[in-house]
Amino acid sequence: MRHLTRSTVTVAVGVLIGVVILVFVTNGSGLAPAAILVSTLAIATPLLLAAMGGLISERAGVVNIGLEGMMIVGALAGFLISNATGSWVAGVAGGAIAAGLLALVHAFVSIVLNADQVISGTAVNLLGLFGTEYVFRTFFGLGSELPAIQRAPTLAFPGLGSLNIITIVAVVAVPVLAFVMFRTPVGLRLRSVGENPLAAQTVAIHVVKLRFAAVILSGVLAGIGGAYLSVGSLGSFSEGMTNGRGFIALAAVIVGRWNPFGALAACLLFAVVSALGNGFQVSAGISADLTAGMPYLLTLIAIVVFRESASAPASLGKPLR
Amino acid sequence: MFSALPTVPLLSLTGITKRFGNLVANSDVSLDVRPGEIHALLGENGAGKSTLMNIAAGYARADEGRIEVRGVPQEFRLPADAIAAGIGMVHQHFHLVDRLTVAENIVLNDEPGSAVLIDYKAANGEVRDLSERMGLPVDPKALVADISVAMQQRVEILKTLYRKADVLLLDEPTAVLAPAEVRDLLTVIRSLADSGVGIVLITHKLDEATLVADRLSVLRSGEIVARFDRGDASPAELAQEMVGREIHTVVARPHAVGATVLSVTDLEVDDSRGVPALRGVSFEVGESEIVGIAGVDGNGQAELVGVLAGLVTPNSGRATVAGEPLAFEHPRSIARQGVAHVPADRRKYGLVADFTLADNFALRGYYTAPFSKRGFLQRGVIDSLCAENMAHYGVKARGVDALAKELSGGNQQKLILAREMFTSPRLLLASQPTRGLDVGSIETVHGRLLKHRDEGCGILLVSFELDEILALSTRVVVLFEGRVVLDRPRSEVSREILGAAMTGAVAA
Repeated sequence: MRHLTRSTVTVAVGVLIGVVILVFVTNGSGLAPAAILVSTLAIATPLLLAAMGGLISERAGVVNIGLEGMMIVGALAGFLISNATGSWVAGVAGGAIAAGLLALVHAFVSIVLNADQVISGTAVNLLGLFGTEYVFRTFFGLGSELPAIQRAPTLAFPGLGSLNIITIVAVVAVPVLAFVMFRTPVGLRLRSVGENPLAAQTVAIHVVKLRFAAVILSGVLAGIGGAYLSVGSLGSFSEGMTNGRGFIALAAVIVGRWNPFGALAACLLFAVVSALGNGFQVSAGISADLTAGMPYLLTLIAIVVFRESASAPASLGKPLR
Repeated sequence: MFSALPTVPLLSLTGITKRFGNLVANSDVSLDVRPGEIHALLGENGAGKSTLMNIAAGYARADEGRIEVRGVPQEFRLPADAIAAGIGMVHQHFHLVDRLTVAENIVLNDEPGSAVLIDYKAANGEVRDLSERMGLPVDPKALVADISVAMQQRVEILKTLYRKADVLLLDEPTAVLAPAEVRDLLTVIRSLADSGVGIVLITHKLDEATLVADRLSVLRSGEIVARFDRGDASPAELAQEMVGREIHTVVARPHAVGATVLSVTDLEVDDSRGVPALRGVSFEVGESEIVGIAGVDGNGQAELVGVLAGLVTPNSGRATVAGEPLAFEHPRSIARQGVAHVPADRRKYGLVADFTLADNFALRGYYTAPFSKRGFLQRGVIDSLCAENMAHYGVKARGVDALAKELSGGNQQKLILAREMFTSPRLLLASQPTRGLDVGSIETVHGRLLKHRDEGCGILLVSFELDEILALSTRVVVLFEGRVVLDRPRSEVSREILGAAMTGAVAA
């Protein structure tokens, strides 16, 4: 693909080598590579969806630090609607819509009112985290037994294991987004809006409309990522269950240099270290605090190593006027 | 040039009035352009030219007045409406996406192929065909960030032509070009007009306007004050109409040059991409001397000024100021050695746009007396010094509390000059000091430079305007591909000699 930059290829190759080495390491410790891979993809699923969402928004020039809040809203709405309707599809769709509505708030505040996008995103996060707490307690109180909901189904892959259907959606979303971004008219227009909105305006592109669409779609994807946590993997909801995944997704966008494959590589790196940590915790008895902290430490290192602000969209975070 | 048959104008603006608060930017302005015609719109900075064009292109809406395209009344709410009506505008500051290719910029929002797949082969092919047909050569696959300003301008023009514009509004298109590029552009504009396009050329370069325009309109303080047909007005008459008074072109008189202030020896510098930009440059500037550095943009001028101002590190070579080695890489030390700098890009390097005029005035010396005392800024002193110097240099603004970005280019430049000259430097690096200024401001800046020269200051003047070099310089140095190809007293060079040297056709 002509837009796949060399640096991104480097990142992807680096991750691949890392995965091979880690899988090799697992050989001696009694961890099955296939199990680690399945576990990695499961951990990566919500990150990937939110990261693809964040990437769309940021490519259109709108910083979306509110992914975390949108994910938790998606998780709760998914749980509630899945519970009410008995359908996991309705649950995921409800999560997507609810997070999309929250994204609409962010879009309105940052695109129409031209407010600071980081502050708006922070407000969205707080609204999401505490709003879901409020709604959840209104429905279920504190410490009560939660109803069982229908979970998204898994598909079995011989020799590998079973993957959640949302995981497959998340993985497929990456090349699809890359294609849309770099080969289609709407992708070209989206990138032009994030780079130089005035240039886009001079050729009659409706900057406000496109940015709105991008931010809402970003919320929808983050919402599906959140719904994966509740409806997809756990079949339950707990307060604050997104646990910083929205921020990790945002970090993945930056480490991946605003390229879908780069963000994929970053998400996989985070996930594989998490998966191995979980594995070692069980098999080798390493402290849970240590293994749980590793992926975050790694993310921090990755941001330092792969930082290159030059690849950020040129008008990221700047209001139109 | 007018046919006997009456032609409906492609674009006609009638009775346009536009107010911004109390300021009347356009007052009952009428202007039209017919097919095949170049209509020059002249005026000083702030005369209302750009406002009028923004109204014609849908970027702003008039408070009163009518816009008609081919006799049909129009209501432009957005630039898109104007584009649809066949009106294309090329802004003075380009609106291009640096990180997209030339072809992507041109076809953007009108891409060949299907709704789900851009046909890049067709896009590149169409852009290549169009550019060859119009005499505007570009490389469709090059990134806009990597091409020259002249080529970026061609991309902007091609953008409008790709959208089938038959009216082109060009906002000071020659301000960013070197002399040879200006000639090429004017030729292209003429041939576009000959193919039936109507062109409105905004400029304040009078010789270009008289050379190429079929009709000329002069805008002053928001009103049309004069209209001429081709050949009916001389540049001097036009200048007088623009400014509203007589203009005196400054001419440097012979004068004595003092001891050497700046001496540069075998300077070698790479540009930001690591390509050699200066390959062994040597010259001197004396007290009370203006050395004009002539040459086409991109032949090492920016790097030369960058090194002398402490912004760029040389690979090798020496420079001394009054016998003392120049403290490369240390702008503050260089300033203490008595070097002042008027940068070429005043909006980027000359001023902090969001600071007040007083703060901008204090930028160079804020850490020393009289601007600060025992680590505290002396607000009262700064304000009164700034006000005093603004009056002295003729900076027009509502007060020292005005923000730098509120000022016109000419007033910004006068403020920078006032700040830089405040400490009575030995050497002034003046890089394109009149770029983009109107005739009135140019007159002031030129007068100031000559006055400082007479007071003993040595001045290194970098300019792409041959007239400016010839009018002010004591000596003229021509840079070509990073080398000095000519270094002679002003009295021994002519426009022809310089023109030849700038293309490398003359040995030093």
